[in-house]
Amino acid sequence: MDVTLDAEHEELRRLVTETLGDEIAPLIRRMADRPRHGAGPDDTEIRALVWQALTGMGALGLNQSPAPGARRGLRALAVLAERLGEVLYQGPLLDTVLTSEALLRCTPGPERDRFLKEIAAGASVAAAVRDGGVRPYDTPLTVGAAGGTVSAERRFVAFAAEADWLLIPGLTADGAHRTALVRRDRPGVHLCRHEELGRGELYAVRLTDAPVTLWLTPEDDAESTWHELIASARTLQAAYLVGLARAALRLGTDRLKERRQFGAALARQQAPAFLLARLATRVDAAHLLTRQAAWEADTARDHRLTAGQALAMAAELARDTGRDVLHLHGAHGMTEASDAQLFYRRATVESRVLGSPARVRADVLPLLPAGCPGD
Amino acid sequence: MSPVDLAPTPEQRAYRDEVRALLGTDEVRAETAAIRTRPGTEGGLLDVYRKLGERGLLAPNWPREYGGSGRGIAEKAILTEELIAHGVPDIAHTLSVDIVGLALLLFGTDRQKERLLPPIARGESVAGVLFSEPEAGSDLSALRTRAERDGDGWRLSGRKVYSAKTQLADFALCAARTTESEVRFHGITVFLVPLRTPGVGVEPLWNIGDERFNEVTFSGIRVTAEDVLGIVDDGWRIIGEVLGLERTGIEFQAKARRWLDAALERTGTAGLSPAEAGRLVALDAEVRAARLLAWRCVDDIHAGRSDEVRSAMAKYWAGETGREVALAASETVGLDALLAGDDEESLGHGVLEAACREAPGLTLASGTSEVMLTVIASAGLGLLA
Repeated sequence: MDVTLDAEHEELRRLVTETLGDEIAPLIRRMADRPRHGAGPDDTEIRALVWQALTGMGALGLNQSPAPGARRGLRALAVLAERLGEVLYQGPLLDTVLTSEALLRCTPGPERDRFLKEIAAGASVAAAVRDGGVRPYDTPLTVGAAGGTVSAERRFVAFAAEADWLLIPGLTADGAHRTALVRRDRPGVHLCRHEELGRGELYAVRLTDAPVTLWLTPEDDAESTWHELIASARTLQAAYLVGLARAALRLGTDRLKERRQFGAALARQQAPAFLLARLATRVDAAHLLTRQAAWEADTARDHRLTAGQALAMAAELARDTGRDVLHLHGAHGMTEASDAQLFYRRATVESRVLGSPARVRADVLPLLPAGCPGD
Repeated sequence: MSPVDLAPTPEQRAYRDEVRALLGTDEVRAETAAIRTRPGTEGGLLDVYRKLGERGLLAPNWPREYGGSGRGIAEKAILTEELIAHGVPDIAHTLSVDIVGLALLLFGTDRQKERLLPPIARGESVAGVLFSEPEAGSDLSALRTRAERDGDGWRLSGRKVYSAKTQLADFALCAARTTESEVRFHGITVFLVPLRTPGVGVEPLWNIGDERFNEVTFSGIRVTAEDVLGIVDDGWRIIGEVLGLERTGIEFQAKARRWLDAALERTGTAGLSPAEAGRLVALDAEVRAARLLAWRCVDDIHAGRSDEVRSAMAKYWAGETGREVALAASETVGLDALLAGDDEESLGHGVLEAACREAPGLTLASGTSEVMLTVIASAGLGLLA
């Protein structure tokens, strides 16, 4: 049986690794990190460059070319997301491709196609789905009297201040699931940056009769469509966290080889070596389960259970790796100069933006069957 | 084959279906149930092995001339999964086909293969493995069994422990020191030792599992060049290669799956506490990941790129997961899970009670978890050097 990447995805990984290579990785890693003490460097240019590089390599169109009869793209996006996690990328890319998937599930029409083209050309979207809950589409939303505006409050919306669009799913008072696409720079859109552990770009968003550019109308039932979209978001977030853990593990391994204590390199001591060996095994396990979820999605199988399980596994892995790698760095790991604290903080935030592992597992529990090999 | 999903080729599906059909017959089910209620009491090989052998299903990846059916490593893994899923004791298959058969195919002479493999493939013979000794477990290079030169052959003396099925086996792979050497790994030879021979003693070492261990003693029995597997003094390489190729974690993940499913069938998911429910969802994910890691190794072997780090990861993960599943799954079911197969009220012939007895062996057999972590840390991460 073949559980390795096929040639298409192998090539994509090579391209992604080249685009977000080791020479640029340290810059990306610090991108969007606002130091707590003093002003940080202006990273506008590097952010723009990274976005340009990602759009240039076609990242935003990876899930926009479905093959006849098949929904493709999540495996490719998972390859990309894993590399994004490795370099600790922070930006609106995953929200933007999730919005593409939401649009692809809508009734075809010129408006829908216009947005898909804009996204493929580089427009960015901040999706209000990462507030720590498992069902963000159940959050209250009010449709204006004429149906042309929306009012809602959302928290922890990443990169809301620089995205071109905001994607706002929610539940109206009469029990209808609606999803609005709103231009970020329109009247009625109010943003307030959170001060939080990750020190990144998370915003509270308040929409007060904000004009809606497009109401998304899924071809299938809106709620079940969002179940699947969230499963895709979980798959990509799992891939991101696997990449984050893999890079943190590398950082920890390097540290053990460099750091000498008690007259020898820490690498020679069994306790820390075994700690990292266990984490390395967990990285591979979570990686394969994540790819399984992506494969299920791409082949029109129900991937909700696997996606939830993969996210919960990857979230705990990233959290534990961040914690343990910081520990292996000693007090140095807690200094601003060390990347260990950066991995730790990001892992802590990113491992729960789509719900804690416990909540995600509770959400997918009803989908758990008794398994059967080969089925 | 599709990546990751483990969706089989039509030929592999047909093979699995054929095996399932046979293992699902009333006859086989009755035999399996009987052995589950009276573990360790079988007087010989189970009939199910002969039935599989008659149909060419028992050693699917062996060449036809030795009784196999010329299929691939995937079919071998499928058979392991199905034996375990149907509750058929799989140890005879693992030892005879997976380890001894593989060793013979890789290192045996044509004559050895012709003589020893067909009876195994027919399900009429079982082979054992005699590596462990009282003072040589994970550190096999410390073995004390000696083969002293005697004319054109050797005299074999020593004591082997913890071997399964040797009370039924016709022959066994036996590691013995043939040459003293400064380098501990050098000077070990693997012999194909006939066990139904004067001078060979087999005594039971009763243990908590269903399969009895044996202590096998050799009192100077004579072996010849015909009984040497591979090259004299080159046994360490043979052992390493065979155990490495056999170490996929397939059987461990299959056991974990069977035990978890047994618990899920009993409890369902509706009435569980949030903590129990979360644990079961997590364990299910871990078992699924164990299967992916195991099949990645099978894929590696099939592609001729066997990877010791991936094998160690697969074995480590499946062993640790299986052990945890046995305890957590039975805990979720409650005390009824601890009723043994010979208790009238036992669940599924005591599957979870047997799991609790078998589980500690999962992190010991086929290389302990610590040995696996050493491989991952050293060969995988460049640590411990």
